[in-house]
Amino acid sequence: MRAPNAIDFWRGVALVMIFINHVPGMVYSHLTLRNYAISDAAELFVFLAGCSLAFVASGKAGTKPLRQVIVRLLSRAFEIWRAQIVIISVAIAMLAAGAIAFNDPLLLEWHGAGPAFSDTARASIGLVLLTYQIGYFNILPLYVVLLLLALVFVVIARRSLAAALAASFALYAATLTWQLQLPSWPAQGAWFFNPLSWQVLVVLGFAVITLQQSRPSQWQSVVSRLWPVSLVVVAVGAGIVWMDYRPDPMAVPHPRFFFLFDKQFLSPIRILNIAAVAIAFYPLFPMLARSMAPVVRYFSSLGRNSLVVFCVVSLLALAGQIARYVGEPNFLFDTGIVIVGLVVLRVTAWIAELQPLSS
Amino acid sequence: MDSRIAALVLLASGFAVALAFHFGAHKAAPERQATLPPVWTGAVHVPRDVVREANRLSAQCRVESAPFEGHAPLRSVRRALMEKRPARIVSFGTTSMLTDDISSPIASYPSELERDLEASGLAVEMIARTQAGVVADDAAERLKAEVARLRPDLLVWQVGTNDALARIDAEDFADRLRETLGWLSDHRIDVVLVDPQYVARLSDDEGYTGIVDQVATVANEKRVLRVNRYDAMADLARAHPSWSHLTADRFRLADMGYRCAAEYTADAIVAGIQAAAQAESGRIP
Repeated sequence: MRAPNAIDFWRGVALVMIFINHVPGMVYSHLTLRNYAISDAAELFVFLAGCSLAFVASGKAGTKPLRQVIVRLLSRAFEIWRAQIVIISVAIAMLAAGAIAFNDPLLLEWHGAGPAFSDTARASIGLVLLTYQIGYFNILPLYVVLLLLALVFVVIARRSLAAALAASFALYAATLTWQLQLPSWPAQGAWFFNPLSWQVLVVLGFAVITLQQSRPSQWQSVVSRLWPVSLVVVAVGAGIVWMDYRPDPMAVPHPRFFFLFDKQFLSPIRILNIAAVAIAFYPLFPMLARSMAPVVRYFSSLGRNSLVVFCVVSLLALAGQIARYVGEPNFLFDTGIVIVGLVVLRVTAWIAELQPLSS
Repeated sequence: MDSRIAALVLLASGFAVALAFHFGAHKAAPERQATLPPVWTGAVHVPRDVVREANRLSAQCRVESAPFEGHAPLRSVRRALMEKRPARIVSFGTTSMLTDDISSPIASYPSELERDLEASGLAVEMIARTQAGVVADDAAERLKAEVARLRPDLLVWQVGTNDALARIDAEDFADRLRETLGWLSDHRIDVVLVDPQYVARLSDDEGYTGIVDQVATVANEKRVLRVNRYDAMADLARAHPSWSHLTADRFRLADMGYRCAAEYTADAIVAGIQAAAQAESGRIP
């Protein structure tokens, strides 16, 4: 078990925010990043995944053999694919159990679960192919594709990090310009998170950590110079959110996704905002580690076991949604959901770390 | 890793079911308020310049309640048809399948609607989009982004169900609905709202019926056509009590709700086109 570090800590924070955001309507959702920034916990989580990717691609002794990196990324993608199949199956079973227990047909259609029951043959195929996703169970499919795309960028980065960044931004720009998407099936539409645009956040995280490792003094100098600017960007972002301003998608020029705050396509302002948040809060971790060590240990334990904790976050959030739907939600009720969630997540991380190889 | 994930997901699902059973007791609450008096309701004569005739409702979908309410000209749809091009319709809501070979009406609501409209002589291009799980501001933003991408002439919007499931405050929901309908109107996108389903368990649930009432209130206020699915399904439930129960993996009432909603929506659209024709000919101020 590794000691608490900034990446694990912030990833743990992102996981808790995702848990709270995935139970919509809870009073505690006012505390999460999305209420103070244009970006939200999903961007933070994916950016940190990119940071971790740098450690997968290179160790302290230098760059790892390419074959080892490819095997590691492919096996991780396969592991996440298996996790997605498990949690979406359990989620569908939970909705079915709720529908039967409460004689309530709405539960069979909730979050787009309808095709699983009304078109089971096609939905089963789509589930395995990741083209059938239900609401709030759409981040792991994004991860699978991001890891597969990361293979390409990591290979390019071994020759030139600048070339990898250029390739990533070129794909991002093409995706926004021509509105490239991965299709959903059997339901019409496209993936909730577009991997073709979200990949840029992974590559950015990868580049940041790679540069930190290769040129630590220059990196520190740049971050220090950017810190005051990032504070301004974060403050402006908070102001925009506070004013509830969002560009009119009919009024912005083409290609419009460059100018919107769109989450599916990860519009540039969301990237700028999460980068500013990352820089602005970067100095906070050492301070917290000194002054609030138990809190740092808690969140770091979640971040260290991010995949298994994320799976439990998803299912706990669905359980919380069902409980709020069939119960009478109020402040105490929501508090109970959050407390139970935080305890179960810690227990999950503890169980995961009982085994020698944690995720 | 597998065994750990499996053990934990089972733990979480057990927790969910236990919570669900614990809080599942029915609660006494005021009944849903009566819907607003319709501004305009009923079958229509369809102008022959655009469509042949409105379909008759099938026997099983004939209910006491009005199938749709409101009087709103669907000018953009009529314009498309007068320009001899198919009217582009986006069906936005909990279902997103667009295929004919599915037995479930839940899955094929957009296909049923498309078929009913074509039977009325309308050339349409139907696009189905889901709104899985998103609520409140996120739902409004997603809808606007899709509308901007697809540029439909008409949006058929099954609205309110996700917000009701998430226990969003009815007043907050109404404010966002007003804002979104205003935005659609500003951009000349015709709208037909389809209100949430009737569910026996929730018939006296103030939170759920509050959302249903707000859909009616805002539709009336914004002069938007509203398919009266909730009341129609309540009529069907009273006529066929056994339909509210799960049988052979299906809730018959929900199936019929979708099947009939497709017929009601088609009639509402035809009426809206007629209203547009009347407005343009000066018969309606």
